[in-house]
Formats: sequence, structure tokens, C-alpha cells
Amino acid sequence: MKTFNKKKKKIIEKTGADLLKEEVITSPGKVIFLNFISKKLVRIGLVMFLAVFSFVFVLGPIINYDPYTNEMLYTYSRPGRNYLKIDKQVQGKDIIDIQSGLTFTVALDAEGKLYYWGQDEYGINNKIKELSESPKTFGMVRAGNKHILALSKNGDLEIFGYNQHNQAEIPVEIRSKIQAEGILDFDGGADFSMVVTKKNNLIVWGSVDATNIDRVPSNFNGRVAKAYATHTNIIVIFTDGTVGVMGTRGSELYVVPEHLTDGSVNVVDIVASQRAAMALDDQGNVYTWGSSEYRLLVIPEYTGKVRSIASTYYSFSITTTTGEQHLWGSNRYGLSTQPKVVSEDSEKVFGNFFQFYSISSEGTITGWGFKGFLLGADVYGRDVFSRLVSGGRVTLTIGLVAVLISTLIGVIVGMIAGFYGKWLDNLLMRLAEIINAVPFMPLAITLSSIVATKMNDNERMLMIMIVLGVLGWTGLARIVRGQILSEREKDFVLAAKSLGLKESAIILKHILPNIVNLVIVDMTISYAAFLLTESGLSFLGFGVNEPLPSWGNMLTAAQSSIVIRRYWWLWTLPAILVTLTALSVNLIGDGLRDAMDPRSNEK
Amino acid sequence: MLKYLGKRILSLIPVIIAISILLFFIMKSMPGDPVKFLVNQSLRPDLREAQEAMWRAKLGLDRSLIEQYFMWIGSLVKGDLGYSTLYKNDVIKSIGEPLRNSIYMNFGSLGLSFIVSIYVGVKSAVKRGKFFDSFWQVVSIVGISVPTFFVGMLLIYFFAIRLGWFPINGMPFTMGMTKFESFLEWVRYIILPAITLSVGSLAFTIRYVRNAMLDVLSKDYIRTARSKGLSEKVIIYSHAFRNALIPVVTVLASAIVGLFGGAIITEQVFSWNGIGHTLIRAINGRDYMVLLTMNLFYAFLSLAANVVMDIGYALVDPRIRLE
Repeated sequence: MKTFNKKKKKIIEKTGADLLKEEVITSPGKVIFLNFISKKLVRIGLVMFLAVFSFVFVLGPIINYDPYTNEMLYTYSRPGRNYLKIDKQVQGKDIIDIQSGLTFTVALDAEGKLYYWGQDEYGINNKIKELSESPKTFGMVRAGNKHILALSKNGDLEIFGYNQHNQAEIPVEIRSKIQAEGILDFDGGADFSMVVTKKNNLIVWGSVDATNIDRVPSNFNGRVAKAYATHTNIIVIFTDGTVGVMGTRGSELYVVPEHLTDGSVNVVDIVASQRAAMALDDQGNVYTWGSSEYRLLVIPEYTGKVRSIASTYYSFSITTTTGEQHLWGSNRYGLSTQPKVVSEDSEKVFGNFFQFYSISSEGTITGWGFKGFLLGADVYGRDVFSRLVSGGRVTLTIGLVAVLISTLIGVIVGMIAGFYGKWLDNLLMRLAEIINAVPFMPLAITLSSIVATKMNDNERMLMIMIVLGVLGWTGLARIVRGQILSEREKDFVLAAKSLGLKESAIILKHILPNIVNLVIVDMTISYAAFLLTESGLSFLGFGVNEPLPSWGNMLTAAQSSIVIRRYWWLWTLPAILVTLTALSVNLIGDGLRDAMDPRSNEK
Repeated sequence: MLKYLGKRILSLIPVIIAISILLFFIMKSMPGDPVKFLVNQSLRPDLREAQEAMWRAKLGLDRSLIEQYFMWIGSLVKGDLGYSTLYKNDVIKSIGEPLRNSIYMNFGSLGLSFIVSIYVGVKSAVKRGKFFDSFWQVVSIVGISVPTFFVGMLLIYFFAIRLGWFPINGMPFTMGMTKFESFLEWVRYIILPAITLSVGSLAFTIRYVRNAMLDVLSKDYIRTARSKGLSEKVIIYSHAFRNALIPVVTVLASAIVGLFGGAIITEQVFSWNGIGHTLIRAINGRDYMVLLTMNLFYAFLSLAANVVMDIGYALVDPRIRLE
């Protein structure tokens, strides 16, 4: 009842005001705008378009994506930035070791309990939970890129995680050898595992076919004390404190400094980055060798003696007896930038792959380095999120320029045909008919494969815009021509003519404004169509070329059903973005058409 | 009517000639040498060159472009489409099977969109402004905006991978099956691509049917029918629908062309061995004759559809014939 009264009151107020006021004449532009904005679908479309637009053009410059950056090891990594999300239970415990794989980290406390955090992949998390409920305690743990090796206090070696290459499954003959000789040391590498037995023999198994990493040189037998797996090689410390290298031939790691091999120093620990290694001797001196990239071989000046060393894929770290800590190498993912808390209090640093962890004197763990891919990674380990942002810029820009080209051609041809008529009209309309006769997609594919073979990325993008524009003008030309033919017969044109206006003035001042509405509507609708066409072309491999991303060529990978089945983030995300953009533009275009043509509201 | 038809077809001749010239020179400007695909490149240089020259002479590639064009047109008129350098066979034999596969898929899709768009379009027009109408308005605008490959991938994901109702992709293998069994096998393979292909065109045809139906429903003879007290069903299906059907059929004729053009992506997503697939293979293998034939086929198809459409309009609107 109350609401009814309110309504009535309002109506009275309104009509009262209307009676007193003179009728306000709203300009046609304002009417169109009000009409346009009053529709729910139009508002949804506008919001969607603004969202996509800001995603692409505001985030784009912030991210500033370089299409050549990738992290090959992270092929098909799942979405999530939780690699460094440290398990809260771990804080304050007496942690003796922290080992990271690519996407996860495992920690071991003094009581022999295992902790796990990061991406929950390959069933590792479940296995760890299972183990923590069992009475088993562990004395040592190591991580490979995707699997974990843990030695229980009563001597059982548990291996779990990714098992594509049987790296998490000890082959029968190796198992019996290990049982006979006992385990001294072990480590996990890139899809392989290895064990050093108490008789100082090294045994390797797992993904070994391509690298032959299981072929232990005969002079290693009975001499190995400790082994460290790098991505492509294995570096060992012999029982006499010298260093040996095996694995992929031609690696820079083979160039070991002389005093590490001649027995003058006694090496106790080794760490390695992607292509360089660092050794620590029992006197607290460090030595580096291998590739000189990221200036990794240049050891910073320090005081005292080095107590412990650590490394990631791109950087090294040392901690000295005086409490100094140094990080050097590449600062990718902030690996060489120590967090403030760490610089104030750090007992020991652990590093592996792309993460550093530091334990403070109170047992608090802080991690820094690579957090993960927000929206996953593709086959080359490229960040899908940055590619979506940067690919959107490519797709949206190509569509926009193509629409400008096609509109320009369409309006000009339509106007010439409509005004001059006669043979020119005939010729132009025949031309339009010819272009229209050959279906768009086959011709666009053929043309783009012809014109864009020996071009760089920018020229190719320009060519695609031109191909789309040159093939897409025919519809608009017809509309403009038809409109002009009907407008020029109207009385106001006759009036203008009789007033002695020039032909050009009549076109520009009297007829052109009447076709602007049509052109704008056609532009929006064609923009949506061009977005779809560009993604279709790129999807087929005839549009934007890799590594430059576009929403269409990001989907090329999804031509394989394995990608559709396993890696949803690779195909749903770009496809959803294309759909959302085209949908929003279509909604806006539809709204514009309805707003500009009041008659269509009746339908 | 016959006179109109004759005039319409005659006016196509210059268009066809222009298209053939345009296509021929576009193809000829493609970089890459098709003869390289025919001759074993690891041969001794002098032997290789001799073989290449032999093929060039055989295919007429050693003559001038204008000569080549007339040679091509001459053999085209005789029904000889040329020699495919990629399939190493006559073009007509190489594209026969893909063409058949594409036609199957397109007709599956066309049948689907015909039935659905007429049902939904008519019902939307009758229930104008109601939920059904606005729902399908939104569906059709989404349908226009979704890229074909996304529809295909979603269908593969849900119906082939998750539910396992249909094969993921590829062609049916019907060796040793009875006619009925092999028909069922074809249907199983064709359903997902056909749905994918029809989504885009459905969105257009639904709108078209709805608007055509709305036009008819506002006509005087419908009011007359109502005033005679006929039931709503009879009015809609007997009076209105028949009249709305004619423009709908004509628009479906033009939809065929769009389907064949759009089928390239669908065929790629479903690894369907159709003409779109052949076109892409021909581009990558620099097979001019197949490319020319394909593009010419598309052009003919589209021109034919245009003529059908014009005839349709002429049937509906007698004024067109008089002009």
C-alpha cells in the first residue's frame, strides 16, 4: 500500500512538472544515447568490453611481455601461484633440510617428519600425508624435478611422484644391488634418480635414453662419496675429496678447475645452477666453474669462511661464519634479491630449481623466487597469463585496423557508386560481387599464405589487417550505395540543389550525416566478425605467427585432443576471451542499431 | 520468369571470367615451386634439373602466364581440372572423396539448423517479448560471438572425452559393415562437427525466421484469418508459416555457401577429411591446381546460391521480375 502511494505521488509530481514546463526538445543524439544506454544487454556489453579492454591495454604495458621469455622446464604447468606458500605447520619446527622440485617443496624436521607445500601434483601431497600418519621417520630427503626421494631411518628408500620414466620405481636388479650395498647418498634429477651405495658405487635410473646419464664411467666405481644432480649432468665428490663430472657430453661443467681434481683441496659440498657449479672445501673456500652467464662465476667478496652454499637455476648463495650472506646471478623472479626479513636474520639458506628458502634462528622459514604461473604455462613453459594479455593486444588491434580499412573502402566505394552511377557504379558493384562470391575464409587463408611468407612479425600483422580489410568492405559498400540512392531522391536534397549548393557540399553536409548511423553500426558488427576471423586464421596457422601471441594462435595447440583433455587452461582461456570480446561488441552493435532505428524496437 | 532467369545467369558470365582471372593470377603469385614436391630433391643436380624440366613441360609451367591461363581455361571447359602435384593424381580424383565428406557434413549441419531455426524462430515470433523469445535472442547473439573452434572443442571435451558418446575426431571406418551399420557409424562421427558447424549459422537463421514470421503475422490476411475465428494453430502453421517459409528457404540457400567456407575450421578441429582440410594441405604443399579448383568451386557455389536466392525473391516479390 505504501509503495503504491509513493508511486502515485511521484506520478503527480511528474505530470505536474510537465504541465508547467514547456516541452523540452531533446536532440536526436541524446535520444539515441538514452535509448542506447537504457538497455540492460547494452550495459552488460559495455561493462564486458571495458573489462576486456582494460585487461589488455592497462595490464599490457604493466606486464610488458617479451614473447621470447620462457621456462622450458615448466612445460604444461598447472595454473596457480602457490609454489612458495609455505605450510604453516613448518614454522618454528626444527627443520634440517628443505628440498624443492619444480612446483613443490618438501621439508624434513629433526624428528624425521616430512612437510610438503606448493602445487599438489603427481599425488605427492597424498603420499606425504599418508607417510606422516604412519610411524615411519626419515633421515634424509631429496627432490628431483617432479619426484621426491626420502630415506627412512631404518634404511628404506621411498620414492614417489611423477613416474613417466620409472624414476619413482627402483628397477629390480638395482634394488637388489642397493639392498646388498646399503645407501650412502642419493639425489633426484630431471626425471632420473640416483643412489650412491656404501661401497661407493653410483647407480642411475629413470629418463636416461636421451642423455645416457646412467652410463657411469668405469673409473667412478668404488670411489663416489656424494653425488649432485644438475639438469643435464651429475657432479660427484670422490672419497678423496676431488670432483668428477658425468652425463651430457659437451657441457661447460666438464671444465672443472684443476685444484678440484688434483687432490690439493678436499671438497665437501657441491651445488649447481643451470650451467655453472660451485664447490665448498673443508677450509671454507668456494670455487666456481662452468658457463659464465649471469656473472655466476664471479664470487663476491666476503669476510670469514664460507659455512654453507646453495643454488637455484639462475643464482648462487653463500653463508659465511661471520653471518654474512651473499646472493648473485640473474635476478629473474627476484631470486637474487634477499627479502628484508631474511637479511636481518638467517641461519641457513636452501635453494633448488627456482626457489630459495631461509631459516631464521627461531626456525621461521621465508621463501623467495618463482611463485608459479597464475594461469598455467604452455608447451614451451610460457606464461599463459602474460600471453593472454599481450595476445589480446594483437587480436584487438588487428581487428580494429582491419575494420577501419574496410570501412574506409566501403564508404568511399559505396559513395562513388551511389553518386556517379552509370558505368562506374556497374563496375564497382561487379567488383563487390566478385569479392563477395569467393567465400571469405578460403580466400583469406590463400591470400595470407601468399603475401606473408617472407615477412617479419609487424609486416605480417599489417598484411593480415589489409587482407581482412580488403575482403571485408563489400557489404558496407552496398549499404552505403543503397542509402545514397534513396537519400538523393529525397526532398531536402532537391531543396539544397535548388538553393544552388555544390554537389560536394550536398554530399558532405546533407547526405553523409544520414549514412553515419549505418556506418557506425556496421563498424561495430564487423569488428566482432573480424575478431573472430583473425582468431580463426591464427588458429589455422595463417594469421599471427609464433612466438608473437594472439588469442587465435594460442589455440593452435588445442588442435590435439590431448591438450583438450589434459590442459584446460590452454584452450578455454583464450577462447573465452575471444567470445567475451565478440559478444560485448555484438551487444553494443545491436544496441546501437536499435537505438538509432526506433522502428526496429517494434520488432 | 524464364527470361529473368536467363538474364540473371547471363550476367554471371563476366563475373565468372573475372573471378577465374583473379584467382589464377593470385595462385600464380604464390611463392614456392610446385615441381620441387614432385622430384626427389636428393637426386644428382643434373638429373634433378632434367626431371624438373620434364615436369615443367608436362604441366605447362614453362610457358608464359597468359598461355598458361588459356591452357587452364581450355582444359577446364573440357572437364579436365588439371594435375595435383601434391596427391600426384588428377585433381578431380584427388578431391572427390574430400568433397563427398564435406557435403555429408554440410548437409548434416544444414538439416540440423533448418529444423532448429524454423522451430525456434517461429515460436519466438509467436511468443514475442516473452521469456522464450528473449532467451533465444540472447542465445543467438552468443552463438554469433562464439568462435567455431571453441564450440568444437567444448563439444569434444564434454561429449567425446568426458561422456565418451561420440568419437573425438577423425573419419568413420566402415569397411565390412552393412549399409545400415555404416550409416550409423557415419552419423556417430558426423554429429559433433555438424552441430559445431550449425551453431554460427543457426544464430543468423533463427533471427531471420523470427523476423520473417513477425512480418507475416502483422499482415492483413492474418487478421482476416483471426476474425474468421480460426484456431491459433491453424493461423500460425497454415497461413503464416507457409508465407514465411519462402524467404527462409532462400536464406538457407545462401547459408550453404557460408557453411562450406566456415567448414575449414570445423574440419580442422575434428580432423575431418573434407575440402577445407584439402585446401590447407594444398596451400602448405603449394598445389596450385587443387587450390584453384577449390577456390573456383567456392566461387561457383556462392554464385549459384546467389542465383537461387534471387529466384526465390523473384518468386516472392513479382515486382523484381518487372524491373
